Amino acid sequence: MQANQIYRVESECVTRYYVWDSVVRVSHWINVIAVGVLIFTGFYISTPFYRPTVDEPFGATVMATMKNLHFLFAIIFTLNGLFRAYWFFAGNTYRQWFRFHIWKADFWKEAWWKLKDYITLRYTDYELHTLGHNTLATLTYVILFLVASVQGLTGFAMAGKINPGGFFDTLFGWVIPLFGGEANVRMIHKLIMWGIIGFMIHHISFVIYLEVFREKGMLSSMITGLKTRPLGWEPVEKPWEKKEG
Amino acid sequence: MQKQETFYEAVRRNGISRRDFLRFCFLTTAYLGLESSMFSKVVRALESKPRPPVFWLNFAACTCCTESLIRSSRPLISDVILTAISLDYMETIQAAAGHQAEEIVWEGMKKNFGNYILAVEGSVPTKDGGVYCTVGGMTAIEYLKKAARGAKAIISVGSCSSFGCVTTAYPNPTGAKPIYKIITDKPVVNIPGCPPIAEVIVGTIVHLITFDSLPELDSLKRPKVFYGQRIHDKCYRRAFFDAGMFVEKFDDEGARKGWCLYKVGCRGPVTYNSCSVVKWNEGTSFPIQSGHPCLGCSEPDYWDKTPLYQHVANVPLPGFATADEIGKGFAIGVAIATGAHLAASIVKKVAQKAEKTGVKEEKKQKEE
Repeated sequence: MQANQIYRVESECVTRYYVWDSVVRVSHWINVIAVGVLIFTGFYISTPFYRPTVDEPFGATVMATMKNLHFLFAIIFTLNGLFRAYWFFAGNTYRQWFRFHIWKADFWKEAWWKLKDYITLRYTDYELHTLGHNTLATLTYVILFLVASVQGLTGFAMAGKINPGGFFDTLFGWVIPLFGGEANVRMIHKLIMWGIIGFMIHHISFVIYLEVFREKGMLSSMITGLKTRPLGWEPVEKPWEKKEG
Repeated sequence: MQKQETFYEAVRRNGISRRDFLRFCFLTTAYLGLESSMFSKVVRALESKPRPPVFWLNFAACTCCTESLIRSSRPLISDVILTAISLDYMETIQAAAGHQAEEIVWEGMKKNFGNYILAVEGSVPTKDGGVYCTVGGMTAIEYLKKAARGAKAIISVGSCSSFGCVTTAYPNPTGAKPIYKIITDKPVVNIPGCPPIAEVIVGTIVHLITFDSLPELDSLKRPKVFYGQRIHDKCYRRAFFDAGMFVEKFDDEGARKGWCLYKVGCRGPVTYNSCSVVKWNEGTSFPIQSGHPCLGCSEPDYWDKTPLYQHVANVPLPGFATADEIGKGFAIGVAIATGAHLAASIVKKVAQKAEKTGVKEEKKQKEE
């Protein structure tokens, strides 16, 4: 499918496919930094674990700095995420929404098949379009995007209350009554952070595994943009409709 | 009842000097967040407009709101409520009792139909036909609905009548409901707090008299001027928060030095009230100033956001406590599942390789 549009490099033993364009890669590493800073500062804001060794409060601005960093990187994360959402539509063939057909039975069959494929440790390569993300991964990332949006909404709603009636409060103030008060908003913000940490654990260990043991170039592809497949690998159409074997 | 006297006349009749009257007007103007040019408007309104009768109804509550009100000693405030605003009915402090008292209410309401202000303290139990709270032989629901018919505005004084407070706390055996959920066809102002600050109650009433309208309300029907900002943002201990200096335990060095109470569960950052600005008892103190974290008493359902000495409340799910515990459990679960899956994958991969090399070796051996 659209194989002629796909940039590939063949070397002696593998074929390399250009999967991630530079925008995707840069945006990914911005996310890494932003989420890292957000989790660290968020933990501090939630449970201040470091106390400055000063006697008077004018000697330190630890909490204030952490909060400012949190807001700054929240804004970076959000803008990056918004741009990335736009790139879903505008990016290269691997990142387009035309793959996201949740209203079709095939989508769910494929996702379910892929889940079983992972659980039974097969890691089958199939259609060409799945070089980017297979259906299950696409679904996961869309859910992650929605979850991160809730995180952004709750976060900006809380930030807006620093200046009631101000810019952020006007835009996001409605979130707080929606969740029944600011205490609940904080609780949800924290729960979602743990969800994102859980995602990160899975994500990082898997790309390392696929890089080291499966030679699919998952980790290095986020730097070079190239994913590897064995020489002579041919895509399979709709493998979930075939019988086991 | 003859021609209604004005606020000012009533104040003078009670032997209060004009200077004190002006001082009250000035302070109230300031509390209401009005510009100083509005001062003369407040004075004129209180001098010329007939004082509106206030009927104060007590339902399911602990009467702490009344206590707060009558113990306030800022210039005139107790007098304002007790004499000047013509508090025509208040079970706790009125002289009349029994049938006499009930006659006063209904007669007064009939005379001032459409003009009186109804202040309600306490929530209204609704379960089993509302039998858990009756006044003068009527259930609280009937009483409230009848009294609200001719009211100009309803002021829900205190957290019970505003959001529910302790009377609606889980499991809420009496089915108690806040006032705004029962009276939907009248303007209702919520003045939450357990109890609310007297200045806030009076300020809202004065606003009603002066401008014939309710003050600007937020999404929870609270006057924005008093409930517009977090306690945290006006707290005098805020510098310690920004610096990162926190009380860890109630008897440690930080507690003695008056550091921020965030880590011992202060709800100041999630609570909208004017405690840190107006303070209590003639501006003497407020909970945080006396070394105790804010409990968030003016926020909806604050009794259910427990434990109160923990900043982020527990997740209301059985078997779990904090968001952190759930989150850690989730993260560990993911880590274990991923680890097991990866280990199995690696083992399988290695086994496959060994098989392949085994096959190759066998072939080699056969060829040889």
